[in-house]
Amino acid sequence: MQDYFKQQTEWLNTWQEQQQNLTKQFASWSEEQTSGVPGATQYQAPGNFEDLLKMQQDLVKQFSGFGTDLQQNIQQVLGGKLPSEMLQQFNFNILQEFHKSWLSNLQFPGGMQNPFAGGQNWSDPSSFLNDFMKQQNPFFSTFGSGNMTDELQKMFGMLGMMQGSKLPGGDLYSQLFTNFQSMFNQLSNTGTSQGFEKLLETFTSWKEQTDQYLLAPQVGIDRETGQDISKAISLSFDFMKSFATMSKLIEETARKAGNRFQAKLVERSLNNEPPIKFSDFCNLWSKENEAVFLDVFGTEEFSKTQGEFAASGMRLKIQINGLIEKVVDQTPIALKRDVDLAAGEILQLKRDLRKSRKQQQELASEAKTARETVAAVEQRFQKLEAALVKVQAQAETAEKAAKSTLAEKSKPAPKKAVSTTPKTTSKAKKPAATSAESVRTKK
Amino acid sequence: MNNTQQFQESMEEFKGFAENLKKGIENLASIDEVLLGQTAKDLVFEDGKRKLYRYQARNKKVCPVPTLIAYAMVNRYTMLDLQPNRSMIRNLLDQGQDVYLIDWGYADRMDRHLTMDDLINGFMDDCIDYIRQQHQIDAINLLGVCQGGTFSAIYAALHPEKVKNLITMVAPIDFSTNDSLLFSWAKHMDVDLMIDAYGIIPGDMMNQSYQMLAPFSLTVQKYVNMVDIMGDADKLSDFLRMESWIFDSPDQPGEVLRQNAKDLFQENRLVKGEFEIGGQLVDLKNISMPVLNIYAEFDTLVPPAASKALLDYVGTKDKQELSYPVGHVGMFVSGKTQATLAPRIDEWIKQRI
Repeated sequence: MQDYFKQQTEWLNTWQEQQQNLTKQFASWSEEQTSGVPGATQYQAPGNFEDLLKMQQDLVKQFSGFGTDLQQNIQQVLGGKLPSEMLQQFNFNILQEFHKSWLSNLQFPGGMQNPFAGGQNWSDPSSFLNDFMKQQNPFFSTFGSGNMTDELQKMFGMLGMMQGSKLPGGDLYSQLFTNFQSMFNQLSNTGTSQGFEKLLETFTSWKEQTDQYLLAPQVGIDRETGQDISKAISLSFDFMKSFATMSKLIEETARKAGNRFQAKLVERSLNNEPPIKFSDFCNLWSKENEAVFLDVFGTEEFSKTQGEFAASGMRLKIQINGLIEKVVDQTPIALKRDVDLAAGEILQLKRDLRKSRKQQQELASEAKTARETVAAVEQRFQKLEAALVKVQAQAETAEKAAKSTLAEKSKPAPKKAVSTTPKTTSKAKKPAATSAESVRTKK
Repeated sequence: MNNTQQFQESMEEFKGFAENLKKGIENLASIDEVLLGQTAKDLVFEDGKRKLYRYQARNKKVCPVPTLIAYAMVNRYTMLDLQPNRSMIRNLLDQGQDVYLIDWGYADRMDRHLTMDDLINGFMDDCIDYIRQQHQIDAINLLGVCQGGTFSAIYAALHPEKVKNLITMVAPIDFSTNDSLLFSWAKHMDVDLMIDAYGIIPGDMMNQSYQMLAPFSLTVQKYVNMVDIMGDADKLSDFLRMESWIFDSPDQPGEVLRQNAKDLFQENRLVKGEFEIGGQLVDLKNISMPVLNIYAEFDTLVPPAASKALLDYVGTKDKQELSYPVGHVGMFVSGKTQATLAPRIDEWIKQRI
């Protein structure tokens, strides 16, 4: 792949050198012309000028092929590195096509014919940009008249799936879908919203007739299926109507934006500031178009129209999904709703699991707190016990000491010794109380 | 200017285009991989697709109270760490913050029934408990960005005891405004139908809505301008990183989007005190911890009016507002914020630790 880029780079280098030579020659020629006799109205092109321009034209052709190759190669080289949506935007071919279009609209001096003018698809650069927008922007492309048929084809694709399935009453449905499709195929020849409205009128009368077969079906045709299909047709009708309303709004806005852009172009030309450069022109085009569209996008009418369009599309999608599911339901293929149900159950299990885990954590935390409290109480109890033992020992010692003192003192008079015993006990308890207070304080 | 000059100028530009393209091709060929979110981090906790990361410290003196960042689900957190010289996360680490981050992952059909309760009272709470346990602290700093800011405010109102400081960035709180097209469009969308039809909302669909906020600038003009910078390898890499982030839009779990769109965007229940998750009513008055609310003055996704309202509803008296003259994304990547945003957040947190 690197070789490819190298080869293309070399080619571009050569092209660039030739380009520079051409421009230099042209510049020297034009200087010659402009320094000519004042008031001269006709320029004389140099003898080799047309050949040079032909060469230029050939190079542009070569460049065009190169642009296509380059596009493909960039997709291959960067395919794994960048998101595919982004790669779609790397449309070098379109950029260089724009330059071709730009060159083709140049007014050559001296009334010379523009060699780039032939074989272009766009009458002017802004029509090129408009086409670009319609084709490349998903929003605008949705409402392009060509894509209206594409949208319908998608719908027919889904209905066709059903037609190919084993629906009861196959013949009736087959005929119905054929009529339905041929009617909307006329859209490809309908360029205006007015034509579209006329078509919708035809559709309405056709639907009324069809409903006679679908809502009161003949023997052998499943009533429920008939009603489902009738509903799908009604919804497709609603979808087309909202599609037409939205298209009309976009169409009108695009026209308004185009007028504003043209007016700006004229204004700039009158002020002798025409957007000569491609980037200037493009900037002006973007700015003026965007201003008009954003004004419309900001209105409640647009929000409502867009909302209705989206809703009618969703209703139809839901109905067709349902019909397809009914068909697929007869096969062992898992339906979306089966997957959704399974996903819902898994999620609920996860929620329950999380709840249990949280409860477990809370219980563990409570248990931990309880264990810590018990441990603290035990510790305190042990300290109290130790203090008590100490106090008891002190009391015993004191008692022994007292007894011994008393015994010594009471040898001559034993009766006195008995009466002093309670006093001695009460004295011994005092240190014990003091000791217990100090434990509490520590605590 | 006459035709000759015009022609010459156009030819010159065409030549410049070719030159840029040539250099651009060389640059594209030499770019190995477009990498985002490269600041070193460790996976510390996970629950399926959802993960909690802890960033490796970049400063010896680390703040004792860690900060958990909750980004939006509608885009990827890599916006906060786009590249080394444009990384709010790296800047916070440099200031000495201990940064954790929630990665909501990429939702798929299995997340069809996932609710805001699962995310906020579920995973976010698990992450916060994990961090509290690891650091042996009662409460952490919570920094919510965009939709993650809304989630963070809800969490802080439900679990104020676990949040020491709350920082919200470009977070929508009051949805009554129509200053953003997204807000006015959302009010007319039948979200129930959308979720019943899709189950899980494709990220591309969300992305398309964002592009429509500036339909011409973001789809044509940007790529025309791209050619001008293709010749500069660094600028081209910056451009590619930003593009990678833009198109990296995860699909949205249906039930989360349903509640987000209906209860918040359409009925504005949060500021009315009527928003409920997991059977609990969310009262923003319960946000009693210090709050720093940061918004972007030119934000077209989350307009200032939607963000600024938070301070009117919280219960705390220690509340502060900070704004920058940037847009939504500019808040994280603009040169105007790179030098000052993280230091301001760091300073505010440290004053309250």
